This record gives sequence, C-alpha cells and structure tokens, in this order.
Amino acid sequence: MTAAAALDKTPALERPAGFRPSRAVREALAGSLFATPAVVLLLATILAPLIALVVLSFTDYELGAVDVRWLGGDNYRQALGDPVFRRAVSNTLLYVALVLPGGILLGLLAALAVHGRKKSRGFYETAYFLPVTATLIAMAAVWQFLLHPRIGPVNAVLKAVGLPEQAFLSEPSLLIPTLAFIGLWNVVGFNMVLFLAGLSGIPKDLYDAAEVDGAGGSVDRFLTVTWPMLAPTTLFVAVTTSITAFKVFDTVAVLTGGKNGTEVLLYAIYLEGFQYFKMGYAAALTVIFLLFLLVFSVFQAVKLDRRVHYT
Amino acid sequence: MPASLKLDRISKSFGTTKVLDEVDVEIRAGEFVSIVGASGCGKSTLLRIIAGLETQGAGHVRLDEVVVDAMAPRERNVAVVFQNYALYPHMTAFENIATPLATSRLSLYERLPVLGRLSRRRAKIRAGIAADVAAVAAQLRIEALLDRKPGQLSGGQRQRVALARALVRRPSLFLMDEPLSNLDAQLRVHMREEITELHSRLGATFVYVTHDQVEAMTMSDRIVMMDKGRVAQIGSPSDLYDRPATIAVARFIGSPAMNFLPAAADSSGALFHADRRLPVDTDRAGPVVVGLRPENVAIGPVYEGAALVGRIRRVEHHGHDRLVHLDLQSPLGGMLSARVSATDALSDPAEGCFVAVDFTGPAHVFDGDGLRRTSKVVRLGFGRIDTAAEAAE
Repeated sequence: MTAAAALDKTPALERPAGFRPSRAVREALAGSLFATPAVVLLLATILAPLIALVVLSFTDYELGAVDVRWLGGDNYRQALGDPVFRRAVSNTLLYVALVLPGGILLGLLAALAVHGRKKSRGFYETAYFLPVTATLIAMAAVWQFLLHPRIGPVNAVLKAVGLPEQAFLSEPSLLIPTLAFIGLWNVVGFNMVLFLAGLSGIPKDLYDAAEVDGAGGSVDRFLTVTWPMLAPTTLFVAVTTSITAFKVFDTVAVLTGGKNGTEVLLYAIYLEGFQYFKMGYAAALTVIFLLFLLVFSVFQAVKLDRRVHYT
Repeated sequence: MPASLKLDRISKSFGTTKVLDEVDVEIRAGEFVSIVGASGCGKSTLLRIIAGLETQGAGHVRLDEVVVDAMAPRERNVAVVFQNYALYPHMTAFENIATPLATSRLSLYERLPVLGRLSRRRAKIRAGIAADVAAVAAQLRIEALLDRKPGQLSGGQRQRVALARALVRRPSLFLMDEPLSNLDAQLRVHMREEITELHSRLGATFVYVTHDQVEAMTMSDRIVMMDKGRVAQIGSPSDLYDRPATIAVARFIGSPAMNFLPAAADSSGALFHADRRLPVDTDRAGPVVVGLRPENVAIGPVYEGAALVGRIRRVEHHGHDRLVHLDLQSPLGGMLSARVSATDALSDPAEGCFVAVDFTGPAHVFDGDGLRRTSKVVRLGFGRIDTAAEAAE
C-alpha cells in the first residue's frame, strides 16, 4: 500500500460508512462549484441578452406593445429588401474601408515619428491622444464649423490656394469620406499608442544585428525588423479599428442625421428601434450587425490564438 | 583573411559618466583575445565601438592599419554574436543565416517582398546563397534545424544559428558579446571547446567579451582585463594569473578567489601583519595589501611564534582537493582560504580547530593605489617565523 493510499484510508475510519464519492468525482464537484459564479455572470450579462435579442428578431415586438406576433424570418427578409438598410450596409463598408487602412498607416507613421523623440515624446503622445479622449459629439461641432461651406476655414484655405470649394457635409458623394476623415482623426491617436507599445517591445539587439548584417538602412531596418516584429500589434490594431469603424454612430447622428443617404448600420438600428419603436425589426438588424462584427472577432481569435508571434 | 585590430586611445562618455578612458589595445591577426571585467567596466561598450554600433568620443579603431571610425558595421566586415543571439524571430534559421548574404548580394529592390521577384538574376543569386548557408550549416551541424524558427530551438541550437549567421560571410573579425552566458553550465563548457576549435579552424581574429574569468582563462591567447573603463592589464592567461598588475586583476582572475591581507612594510621592506612578521619582503615602506592564492596557503599544527593562526570555519570538499576557510586570529580580523590536497595529512581538518598558516608559493603585494609591487617570499613552507623583535636584531 502506498503512503497516499494509506492517508486516504485513515479518515474513512472516522466517517460514517456509506456514500463516499471517489476523489475524481469530488474534485470535479469542487471545480464546478468554483466555476459557477463566473458561468452565472456570463449567462446573465452576455448570453441571455443575446438570446433574447435573437428571439425578438423573429417577432413584431414594438416598444410598449401588449401583444406580440411571431413573424419567423419576415424581419430578415424585409431588411435584405430594404433599400435604406442596404445603403446603410454599403455606407458602413465604405466607411470601414476608408478608416481601416488609413487608421493603421497613419497610426504607424505617427508612432514611428514619435518613438525616436526623447524630450518631446510626452507632448506628441498627449497631443495625438487628445482626440481619443475628447467626446466625439462635442468635437463634431468643431468639425461642423471647420467644414462649413461659408465660414469654415477649410474652404477658406481651398479658396486661397485656388481649389474649388466643397460642401463637405451636404454633397452626397463627399459625406462618407468626410465622416471617415473625422473617424480617422479620432482613431489615429489610439492606434499610435498601441503601435508605440509594440515598438518599445522590439529588442534593441535586433536592430544591432540588422546593422551588422548590412540591413542598417531605414527601408531594410523597417522590413527586416520593425514591420515583422509589429505584426501582432498590427493585427490587433486592425481588428480594433475595424470594430470601432463598424460602430460609427455619433458623427452621423450629429453632423448629418442620416440624411442625404448617409445611413450607417448603427444609425439605422437606432432609428428603427428608438425612433420608430419597431424593436423586433431593430433586433433583426442588430443580429445582422453582430454577424459582421463576428467575422472580425473570429478572425482575431483564430489568428491571435495561433499567435502571429514567435517566441 | 583575418584582420588585425588596433584600438588607439579610445574614450567614451555617456553624459557625464566616463565609460572608457583612453583604451589602447593591439590585437594581432588570427588571435583570440578576451575582454574581461566586472559588469559596468566598459567591455561591452568597447565591443560595440569595435563593431561600429557605437561611436567613440575620442580615439581611433584600426582594422589592418586602416582607420575605420567612419565606417558602418557592415563595411568593417565584422560579425557579431550577441548575448541574446538577436536572431530575427519571424525568420527561419535558414533565413536568419541568409540575411547577411542577401543584403550584400542583392540590391535593395531585389530584396523587397513582391517587387524583388521581377529581377531576373534574383533566383540565381538566391541559389548561391542557399548553397553557402547549407555549407555553414553543415559546419555547425545544424542542417536539420534550418526550417525552424528561433522559438522552436533550444538555447544551444540558437547559439549555433547565431554563430552560423556570423560565419556565413567570412568576416575578418569576430566579435562575441558574452555568447555563452545564457546557456546552462554543462552546455557552456561544451560550447567553450567548440568556439575554441572554431577559432583554430577558421584562423580568424576573435574578440570575446565575457565577465566569466574561467572562459577568458581557458579560451584566449591573451586577455584584456578592464577595470572602471581602463585597461588594467593585457597579457596571456598565465601572466594575469601569476603576475596580476593590479589588485583588481588579482581579485578577478582565479577561482577560488585570491586571499588578501592588510600589511605594512617597514623601511627595510619587511612585511608585518598586525606586528607579525610575514615571510614576504617588498621594495619600500608603506601600507600594502598582500595577495595569496588559496593554493599557496598551507595550514599545519599551531607552533610557537607562528606568524598567522586561523580557526577553521568551514571545509568545502571539491573531490580532488579541499578548500579550508579560516577566521584569522589577528587583531585585524579577516578571513583566509587554503586549498589543501585531499591526501594531505591535515586533509580532514575539523571545524573549530586552530591551525598555523604559512605560505607555500608567491605572494602578491599591492600598494595603496592597488598597483603591483615587487615582492619576494623569504621563506616557503613551514617553519618558525621571525617575530618583530627578532627581525629587528
């Protein structure tokens, strides 16, 4: 008999004979008990509302309505056929397509420029980060002024250099690009901070090695060390930026109010749910919206799990 | 072709801290020279200056008599093995080793990810690079590892890949910055041999920075000992061991470490430790420190008039010999260690015993500035030591 078995046996003498689960069962029970609070919280705060949302999306529930009818897939059929919703989808995709590459590129460039600074780094970091901390709704007012066709300084500059003035906030073809520009302005600082963190994580040794290996020129350094070493950061930045871009709402709500064909996904949902009180339909749109986000989240989870990383 | 290296009054300061102070070193082509010193002595900075990764504040670096101060590391044709190997983690071992070749044989545009494929000669050059990488890999027996990334390699394997990357373009000067410090003890001993062997096979000039005096002693033709940004001594391992030029060298070289006893020399040069005559003479009067290697200290039964008496504090067994730690029974206190043979009559001295201490080999005498002074041991081995009164007669 081993010592452990002997130890296991002794308390049995003091216990009443009868039910005594095996060690494995007891451990499993204890484990489940410890996991319970987290599981309950997860269910109550995330999964349950999600299920409620999906259920709602199959009904004609309206805020305050007494009876609710089961519609099946009608809401989804209606959404796919709705020209407004389709425009919201294509506007959102265009917006993401503008903000995503710009946000990564400008964030990276800003980070590279700021990273080398010693004394002024704090200033630049704060300056670039300000738009992130500023409330976009409040800043939208400033943008409205800047881009104003008559009194805005942007048009004044355009006029001064001899370019045609633009109606940034009313010309339909310019609206989404203008909103994307503001979104970019808002997101670059945040991306820069992420890239800065990534940059300071690159071992200095690698740059030394690159220099000894003859890859000391700035293009070589970037391609041999900086860019590959930033790959995990870049992926993270790409995912967060695209999710942020997908959720564009405040600038649309404040600057255009969704007029002139500037509907975006979140704004369409807001209109249906909280202006027209068609909660069932809004729920269906939300499910579609979540599916878009899911694509990015899954991409990130899979990629980050496999770690674009090296050690 | 191996290059000779000449450092000509190299100085360097970081802010107000002087890291290197007029360092003069000459290294012959094909030599294996270690730069040793405690951390912060400037040895790594010196290596970086030789490599061209750092610019010196003053002085010149000459390779084969040519001043290379203004040259980039690559143009100096030096290779560096870094302490943490500095392998590119996103590249396979093969790509790591190929990088220095690619940068020299392909133009920048040919190296670009997509655009480079447009070059017609690229494929041919790539094949040449692959052949060279394979040759070096065979030399270091890492052919099987070429497809792996550094993250999938053990410490010893990474070390070999780093060596291969340094070797592959046949540099005239190898610089190694504590390359073995991240390996476990056994592997370190093995790689020590391997690097020495590599040196004799290549015949290249090696400059090897280490804080481990054992590595320096066992591997080098000559050692440059640095202390506080200055060269304390340059010489063969036995020079540094047998005739340390300063007390810092004496302290650093040798394991177990040298013993030090405070003493004073009278006008005749006779040394006294707390009024006890030591069997050593020096050239002039003044306070000194006497250094004694543990193997030059003998212990025996206490006898009348013994210069030094110690109480055994601890005995360390090292197999072939024993290290006996003593508390000196002197008004100045102090400790001493003696290395005694395991077959010695007193080989199993009991802790707490009192023993007489005598010198069986050279003593090193250093003056107040820590500089070596000439000295002579007047009597070796056991015997009655003259007391102060007797010496005066």
